[in-house]
Amino acid sequence: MTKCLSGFLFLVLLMALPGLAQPRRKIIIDEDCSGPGGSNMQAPALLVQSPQAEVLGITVVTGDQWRDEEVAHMLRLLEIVGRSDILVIPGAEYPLVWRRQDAVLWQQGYGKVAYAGAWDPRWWHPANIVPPLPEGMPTTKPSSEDAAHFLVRMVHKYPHQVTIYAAGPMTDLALAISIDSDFPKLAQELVFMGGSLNPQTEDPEFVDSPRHEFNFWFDPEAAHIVLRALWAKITCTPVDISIKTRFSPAMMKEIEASGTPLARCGQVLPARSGGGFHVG
Amino acid sequence: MDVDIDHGADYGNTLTWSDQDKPQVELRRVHVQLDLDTQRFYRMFVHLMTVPTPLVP
Repeated sequence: MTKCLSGFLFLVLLMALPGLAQPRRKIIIDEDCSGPGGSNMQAPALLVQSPQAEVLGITVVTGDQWRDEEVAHMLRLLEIVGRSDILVIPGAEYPLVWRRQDAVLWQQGYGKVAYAGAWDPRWWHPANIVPPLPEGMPTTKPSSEDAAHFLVRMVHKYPHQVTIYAAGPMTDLALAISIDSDFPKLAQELVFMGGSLNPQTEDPEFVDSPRHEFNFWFDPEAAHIVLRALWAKITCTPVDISIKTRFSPAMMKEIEASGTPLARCGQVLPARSGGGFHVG
Repeated sequence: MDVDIDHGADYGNTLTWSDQDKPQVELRRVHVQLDLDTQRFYRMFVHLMTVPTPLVP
């Protein structure tokens, strides 16, 4: 769960997308694509479904789950909707600096976090293990390129035309910036889910630590590098807005009734109805 | 906007400033979305989730 209401990000993004008569907006999705279901599947699904977006590729970073497990979920989703032509590019397996053991020691000193993504003891497993996927294992393969080089290559190929939609820890983006300082300048815009300012909620995760948010916390140094970079434009969707919507049973029912591959497989749906879109 | 990278209790926390109190380093202005038209969002979400997937261009 990228403690993110990825859907909100889409609203920002899709509302800014050009009309049908204009070229589709080129987008690279950089995300911790955990699954099945939840916002980390809804997010890329919405952009793939939109006739106004051209998804150049989906770069996958460890966050809510380990990278390899997320890559498998993403490949399988694209198989289900018949869009395996869209590249899935593996990104960083680990954050820039800290590791699970560091996070465990940090929590012993400063208090337990409500959610620790791939490191969470409730479902932790080694990074190189891909558990059987409820939606079935993919038969397609990820790209042989790595995320950082793909990101750099794409903004040079389409200068000032690529929107980077980031909805996970920012490790891949930090690596791309470190490889090529022109990367942020050549992107059209960075739109990201991350950060928390003053969320109005009774959720203890944010009541006790209103400035804590998972995507930043999982790789703080990466987020620091990204926010210091010289992007043409930055749009942020923080926790504050992510908690303002709910995925209702009525919405779920309407989607299920459509009978599309997305609806039938349940890939797009949250793990529980009535929860926020940040359910992962 | 930035992130606290001191390895203390606030490690990873969100930092924000205004033009008046920001640190003397080069920072990009960040547009932060704090509200949305929820009904429009719900309609868009359900619509995109229920239409056939666009064919490969």
